[in-house]
This record gives sequence, structure tokens and C-alpha cells, in this order.
Amino acid sequence: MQEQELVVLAQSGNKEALEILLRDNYPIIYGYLLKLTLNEEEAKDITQEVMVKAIININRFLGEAKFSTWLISIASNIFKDNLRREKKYSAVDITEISLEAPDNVEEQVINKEMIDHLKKSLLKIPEEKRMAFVLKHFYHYSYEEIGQILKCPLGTVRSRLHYCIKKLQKLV
Amino acid sequence: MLKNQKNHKNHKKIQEEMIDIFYGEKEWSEELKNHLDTCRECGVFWQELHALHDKLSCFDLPQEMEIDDRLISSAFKKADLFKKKRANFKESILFLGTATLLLGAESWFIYLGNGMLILKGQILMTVLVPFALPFLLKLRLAKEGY
Repeated sequence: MQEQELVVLAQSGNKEALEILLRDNYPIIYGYLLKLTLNEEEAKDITQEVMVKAIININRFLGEAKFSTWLISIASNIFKDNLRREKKYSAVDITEISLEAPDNVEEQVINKEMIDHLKKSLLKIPEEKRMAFVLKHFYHYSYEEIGQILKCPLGTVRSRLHYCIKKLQKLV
Repeated sequence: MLKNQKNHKNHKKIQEEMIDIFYGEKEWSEELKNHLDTCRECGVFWQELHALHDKLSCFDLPQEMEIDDRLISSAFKKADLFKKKRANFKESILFLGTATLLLGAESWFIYLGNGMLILKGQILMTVLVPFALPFLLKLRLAKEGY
């Protein structure tokens, strides 16, 4: 069944359709939050909050963008709120999570070191700027779409991305 | 010196455009292509962009990611709880509104000088209704043929 049909069913109160939509989009949302927070516990926590908000407000989804974009927009807002509230999480971080792990043990160690280094570099970038970077680099959203998701002008999105690239080039 | 500064500014601007091209926001222009062929600084910058892209690929999550079913079912439970709370809140507001309206009306009657009448009415309700209950029950039973 296509996404639009599932959305219509979910909006008419079909719980199964809504569950399929959430399951289909789980990797996108969790992956996005994992890259943003670099913390497994925080990413799972926010993913759940995103799903709760999506279930409650499913009728507010107008279908102008993709369902995943709507969920990412909710995730971004919750992440920003958490930053304002300075919610604290334990240090179970992204290096502990099984990313694309190579078979070779040596490669795995190098990979882990690399991820750790990249993580530290990413953490040095302010969150608002990191959000624009993650959306562009990993999810290939256009500047306009990122602007809509983060509720900021196109020029700001562009300058945030440029800042991140230059900063990462220096750090990595 | 001034020429150097101008050149640096020019490279900076071109490198910003290169980021836009790298991320598919802009197309290559002939001018930029020619610049990249001749400028070492911008060439290195372009290579670094690719290198950064390659390094960040280790953040790619597995294609088949395990879905946390508990998280999703827990989200449904939380949402149901929230909906119930919201419905209760709406009912409470309705009750509060009605109670305020009735109290307001009663206060208005008292203000108009009908306080004693209301008091008598209330005494009658609280005292006589319990006394009248057996009588009302008997009446009902008789009506139903017992």
C-alpha cells in the first residue's frame, strides 16, 4: 500500500495503518536523531516522543511533504526544545552502536576510532548548525526543505552548511 | 597585498559555490570549471570535500535496521494516555464553565434580593427530597404494577 493511502487510513482512525507508517519511517527518524545527538539513549527517547506526537497529531499532517519529512520536522523541534531545557543523558554514545561494521577486526578498530574522532568533531559544531548539516549531508534535503523543517531562511541554511563543512574540514 | 586579499576573497566565494555544487544545489558553470582546472587551492578544497564525504560514510546506518517494536507500542500507549487526559481536561473545563454559570446566576438572584427564596429552596431540596424518596419509590412501583 502506498504512503498516501496509509496516511488517509491513519487519519480516519486506522491504528494498523499508522503503525505501518511509523515502522516504515523508524530507521529514518532514529538514524537522523542518532546522527544529531550522537547518543543512543537520547535518540531513542526523542524517537519515542516523535512517534507520540505523530500519533496525537496525525490529522494535522496535510500531505504537502513526505511523511518522513513531517516526522523529521517534529524530531527537530523536540531536539531544539530539549536543548533549551538542557535535558541530560548518559554517555552511551554512537560508537557503541553497531553501525556498518566491517567483518575484519582490525578494520572494526580503525572504524571505531574514526567514528570516535568524527563524533568529537561533530560535537564541536553548534546544534542548530549540525541539524542543517545532517539534513543536507545524510538525507539530501534541498536548502528550501531544510529551511521549512528548521523554520529558518534559505540563506541561513546555506551559511550553516558552509560553516559546518569548513569546520569539519579543519577538524577531521 | 590588496590583490592577494581580493584573490583570497574570490577563492572563498568560489569554494562556497563549490559546496553548493557538491550538494546538488547548483550546476557547474564554465567559469568555475576553468577555475578549478587552474587553481590549486580550490582543487585541494574540492578533493577535501570528497574526502570528508568518504569519512562521514562510516556514520551510515545498516540498511536493515532493527525496529524497536517496544518503542512503537509504548508510543501508542503514551498517546492513548495523553488523549484520555485531554478528554478529561475538556470535560473538566465544561464542568467548570457550567458550575460558574450556575453560581453566577444564583449570585445574581441573591443580588436582586431573592436570597431568602433561594435559601428556602435549597433547604427544601436537601431536607424534603430524602424524605420524599420512599413515597416516590412507592409511586413508581405502583405505576409498574407491583
